[in-house]
Amino acid sequence: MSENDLELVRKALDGNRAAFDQLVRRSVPRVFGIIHRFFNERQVVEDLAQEAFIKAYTALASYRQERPFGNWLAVITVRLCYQELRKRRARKEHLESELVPDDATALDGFCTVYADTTRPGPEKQAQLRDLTDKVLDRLSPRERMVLVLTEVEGLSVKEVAEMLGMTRINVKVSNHRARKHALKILLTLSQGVKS
Amino acid sequence: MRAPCAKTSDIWARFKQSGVLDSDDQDELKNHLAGCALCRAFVYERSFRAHVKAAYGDAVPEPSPGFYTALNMKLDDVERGREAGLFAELIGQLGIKLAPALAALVIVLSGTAAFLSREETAAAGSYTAEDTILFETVPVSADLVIDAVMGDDL
Repeated sequence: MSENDLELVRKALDGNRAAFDQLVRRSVPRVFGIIHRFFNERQVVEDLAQEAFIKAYTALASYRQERPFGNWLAVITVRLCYQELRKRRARKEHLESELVPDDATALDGFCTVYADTTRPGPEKQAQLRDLTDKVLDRLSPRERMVLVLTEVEGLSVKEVAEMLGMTRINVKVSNHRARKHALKILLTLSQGVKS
Repeated sequence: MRAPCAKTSDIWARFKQSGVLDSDDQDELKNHLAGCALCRAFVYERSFRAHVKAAYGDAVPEPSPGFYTALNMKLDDVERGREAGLFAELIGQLGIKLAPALAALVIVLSGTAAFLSREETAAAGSYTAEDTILFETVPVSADLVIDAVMGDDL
């Protein structure tokens, strides 16, 4: 943790709101980035980000400086995302929609994106995102969390275990199952769209 | 997982060696995958991470102009709630500390009140309803008054 973050935390604990505001502005890209991995709707991203910062503000006294402030805030954010995924799952809001013609293009893209040395353009990326969301929406919240945190965020098994309060073995098992499950869904969907 | 078809294996090997999949190979692979579930599984499995990374990308939405204002308003609410909570806590703590004293005070006050009301009752008890009637019916004469003031000394 940089000295400045620690100083800002101390000032914020003394009631200095400007110091907390500075911490918020520094952390916004990371917090938004994490939430955006799970939720594509802009309003949801903003609402959850606000909730994360409010939780951090109210729990600031419990923050221990051995861990970087950004990581502590990331844990709060990840757990909020997990709760939201579970709530949506309970309300059965996860998508079960069928594939659309755009997804067929995205599936073709799936085969070539690996080989593509250039970044996908905004349109192609939107198609890929839609298709990936459709696949990951069919996973359990835990599988989805573990898969995205390891494969996309690039976090280690140890980090994911700490964030989600799981054992390392459970994270490894969940990751393996999630990949297997996602590929199965992808193949099922692709058979549907190809036929 | 079973091995993919020879065609896919060849294309994949060329790709792994050169790091590039030329457009002819891409087209051939796409056409083949359209009809071969085994090779689709092979390619999906190997390109899964790259695909998911590409799908989520690095683009992060910027906060809207009202984001910080809305957050500050919510934090103000938290502050107000916290102050109200602190006040309530202070009152609560004071209540706990002063409870024995308050209890003692209540006991003393109620005891005093009971004592006073008993005295009043006792004083009121020296006259009965009959006495009141007697006072009203007996005419007060000068002799009676003199008797009352001077007693039997006269």
